[in-house]
Amino acid sequence: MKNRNLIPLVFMVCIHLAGCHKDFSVKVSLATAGSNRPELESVLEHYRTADPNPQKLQAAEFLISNLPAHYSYSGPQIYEYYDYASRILADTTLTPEQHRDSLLAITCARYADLPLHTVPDAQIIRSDYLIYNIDKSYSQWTTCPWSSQVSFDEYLEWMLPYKAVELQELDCWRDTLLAYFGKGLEHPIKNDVEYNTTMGVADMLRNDTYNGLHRYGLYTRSGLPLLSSHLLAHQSYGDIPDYARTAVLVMRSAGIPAVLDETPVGSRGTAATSWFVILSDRGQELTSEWDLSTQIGGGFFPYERGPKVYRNTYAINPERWEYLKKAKYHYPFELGKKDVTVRYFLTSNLELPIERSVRKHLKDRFVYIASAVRSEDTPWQIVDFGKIIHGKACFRNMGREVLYMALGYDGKKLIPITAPFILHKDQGIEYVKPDTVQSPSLDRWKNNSL
Amino acid sequence: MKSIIPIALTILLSVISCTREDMYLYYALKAAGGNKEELKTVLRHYRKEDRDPLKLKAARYLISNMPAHYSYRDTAAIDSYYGKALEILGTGPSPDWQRDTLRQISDSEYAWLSNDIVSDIEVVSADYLIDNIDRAFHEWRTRPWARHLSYDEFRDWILPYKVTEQQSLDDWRTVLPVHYSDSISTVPPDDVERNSIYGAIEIVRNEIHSKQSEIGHRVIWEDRSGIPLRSARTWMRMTYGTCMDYVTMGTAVFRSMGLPAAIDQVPSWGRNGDGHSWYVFPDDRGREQATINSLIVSAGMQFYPYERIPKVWRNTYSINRKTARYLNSARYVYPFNLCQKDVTEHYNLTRDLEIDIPRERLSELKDKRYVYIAMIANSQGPEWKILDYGTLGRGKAHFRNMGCNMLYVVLGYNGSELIPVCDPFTLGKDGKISYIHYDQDNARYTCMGLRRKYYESYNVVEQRRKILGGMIQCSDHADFCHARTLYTIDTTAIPARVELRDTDRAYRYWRYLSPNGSWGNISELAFYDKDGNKLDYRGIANPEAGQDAIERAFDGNLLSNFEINQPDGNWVGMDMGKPIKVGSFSISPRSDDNDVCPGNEYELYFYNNREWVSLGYRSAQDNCLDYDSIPLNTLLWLRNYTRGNDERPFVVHETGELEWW
Repeated sequence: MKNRNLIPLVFMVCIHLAGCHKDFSVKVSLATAGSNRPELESVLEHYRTADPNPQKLQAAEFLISNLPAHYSYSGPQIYEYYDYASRILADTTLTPEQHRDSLLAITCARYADLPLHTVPDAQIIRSDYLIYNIDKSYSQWTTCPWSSQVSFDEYLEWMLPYKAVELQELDCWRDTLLAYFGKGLEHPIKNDVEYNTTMGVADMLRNDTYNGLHRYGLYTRSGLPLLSSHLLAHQSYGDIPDYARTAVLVMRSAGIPAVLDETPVGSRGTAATSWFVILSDRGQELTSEWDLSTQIGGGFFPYERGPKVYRNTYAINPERWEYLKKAKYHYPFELGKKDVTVRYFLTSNLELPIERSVRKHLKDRFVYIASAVRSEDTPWQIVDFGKIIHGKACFRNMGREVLYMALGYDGKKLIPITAPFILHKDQGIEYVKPDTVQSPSLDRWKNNSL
Repeated sequence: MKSIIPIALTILLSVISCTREDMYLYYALKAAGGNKEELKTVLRHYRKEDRDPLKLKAARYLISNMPAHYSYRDTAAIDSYYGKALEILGTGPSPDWQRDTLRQISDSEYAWLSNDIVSDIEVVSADYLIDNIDRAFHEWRTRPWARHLSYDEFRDWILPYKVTEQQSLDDWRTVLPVHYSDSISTVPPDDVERNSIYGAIEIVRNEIHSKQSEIGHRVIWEDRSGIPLRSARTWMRMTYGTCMDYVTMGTAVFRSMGLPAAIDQVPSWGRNGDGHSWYVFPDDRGREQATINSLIVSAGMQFYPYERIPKVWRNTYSINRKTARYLNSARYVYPFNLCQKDVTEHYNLTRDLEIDIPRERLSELKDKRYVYIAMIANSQGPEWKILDYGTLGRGKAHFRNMGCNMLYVVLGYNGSELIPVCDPFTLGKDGKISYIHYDQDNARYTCMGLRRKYYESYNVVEQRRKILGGMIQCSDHADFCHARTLYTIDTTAIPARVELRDTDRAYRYWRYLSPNGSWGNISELAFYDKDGNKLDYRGIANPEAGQDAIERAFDGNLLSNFEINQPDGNWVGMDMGKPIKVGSFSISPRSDDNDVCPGNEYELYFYNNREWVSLGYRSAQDNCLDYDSIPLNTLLWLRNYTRGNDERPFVVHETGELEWW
């Protein structure tokens, strides 16, 4: 569904990717806004005339030119759900399990199809909302000592975006979350070491949020995620990704540069599949390991392996746009994801020979790589796409010590184009017989399913 | 034709590259003198007998870089010293005694040894080198955690036949794995986690730590030792040492098992004079894991998040050819380590700097090619400590990879010494350079009271706040029932001596009642009579406090503390034996002892045109030193002539805020 919204836009945005001309890409993006176009134009006009700040204008252009990748719930129904959730979460006689189960029940009964009804942000976002987000984040970037190490390009991706995840409510989350969890910033203990540093402030926020949330980890299925800032502040249950997402928003609300990284498959062992990352005073990307409960930068799952790690970005991934534009089969890859696997795992670029007899069945030069997961129902999980070049299926930055298989599109469906293979730590490739994939001996090369 | 040009360029470049490598090998062999044949035997061995191209490449690499490495010339003497060390280590009352005994032996019998060194190229035998190469390759190719490493990684992290200079050319690759393999040898081959680099290093590190603990070791930072223990057998018996000693030993153990490891070090942390060393390794995920506390804690912990980092060097076997050129051509030669690589950007934000040097300063220099970048260290007062060299060009000094959030100055050689050639400047986190310049004509001044000579951490501030709400009370009863409160502390800037009013009558029991949640924390407490004489009677406290804690409150040592293992209801005081009128009291919050201390002698300096100029000498009467004309935005330094080591420069801004550097 998400892609159904996006595909019509591809033709218009493809030139943006090819030309890389900023003004033109903004124009193309404006064209996707429909009747909301004046709202977006007024943002640009605001930073040309009322507040003529070239960097803010550039920030506005960045947000607008990448709007086509982002979407929200359409219609008011989600607010009904959030109102109900608000009442449920405020009921202190209920346990976190009861909170979760109540919201799951109503989701199933009344709101199950809400995620299928989305609208591009370009068509609904208001000028004052964008201006508020730009002004607030820009002010923090230029005045907070704990973000002075952040470059403008980093600011665009780590601080500026008006949302951290899709379907997040377009509310005043920066003010709301700061009001709940930023009390420590009002009267910090002044000293000459930790005070006003990224690490000092981030650690204080993490602690305050951790203690303020009364976090309770519940990993079984929940209802619709709580993506409204008032609800995030009262979240009484959730899984690791829920709290990692909250952490990113809290950090950004205080001007701490933060992003959310995630794996497309489950962990090898019991590690998190989503976590937040901050840019430290020394410009280093420091990971959180577990959501809010562990010290930032204090070790990160030393034994984990996996095929990919993606970073949630506001910027459109140009390779994925190209894929959307040209591929004959469309796998629902999100556009706002950047491959950061090399920051976490040893990786290899793969060139897998495809037999001519197999190649002749393929109707598309785009191919897919799937990672084996511990699931009887869906033992393969597609984690990325690649291209056939000179008769070889080429994939980039693939995590090692993983069992993979390459797939291609035969005009009707995806079919295997290689035998399953293990990409070893030393980059050696070991093919295995397809009928042995479920063998327990190969379990060590698989991750859990998400 | 067009396609031929890139190929020709590639060939040309590779020829140039080959020529350079060959040249290094040629000069190394030439430097070997009488030992040349031994080294040629190694090369011949891998060309003709063990025809392994990678081993030959490794041999060429080791020999080419060998001239920079050195050993004790008198091997019999150093072996005899190590023999004595082995008799002493693990005996006697303590590691301190062992260290002191070995220092005494070093000073009296082997003082000459450290200066009598010889380049390895003149002494390494063919057998030793071949054995080392073969063993290193065997570990690389057979250990489950090492097989995936590339040749370049293997070369840098495992291959070298020594970890540190003056290391004995002994059988460390054989002896150390045997001694420290008890745990790792029990790991099943299919245990993926423990057969990873991270897993295996953790197992071995734990075993080293455990075996060193069995022989009663402790890390000793503060005192001079004798000749360092740098042989396989003395490492196994090492009971004392600095961080560098322990990480050197650990790195040798790791490499002997095919575990990649190297030693990184800061010559100085950015805001104090101390350096530090640690080991680092590339984990199975391709990330470099830096450790923090020698071999005591596991890898992957947060790396000193609040330390400022100007430079980090990695000890390498490779010769840093750029440094070699410097050493060969500079007119003033600072003893930079020839075998170190700049890895600052692995740890900190860095910038390449271009600093304008005023024409009149340039004209003073006798070396127009090299300049130096330095930070301030404390050596009984401010002193510029050199961090790296740079080059001069077009009136600018160029430096590479300088850590941000630091204060620096550029020095040049005037023919007799190094002199500052620009104003000190700060390099902000955002890469901006701000000069700190005292302009006599336009200087602005402020008056203020100085309370510190060193920056303060969260902990210091937090501990100081623990006296807020504390009370001075007196009573006729030992349990302080019907206690009378004479003073309540409402500021952390409490005077050194506080007069007590309303002491119209005498009381026998006097105390400081700490606020709830403070765990009783104070450093010192004293009571004085009406004439200002210090009262010295029996210390008392709440029952949960032991006698030791009470004594620490009255021992005059600002670094010992009264602290009780309960947050609330703590107090400490005096039983005067009879009713007494107390005239005043003094209380010192728990601190790092860098507050201005009554009775100590101080002098405040500011930096002006290469000189530290005095703003006045003071004998502190209180815990605050008042100065009435402190120049704003100027580099300042408060010296304590009485005691202590921690002092740092600071700047007073227009807002009255102090910024420490």
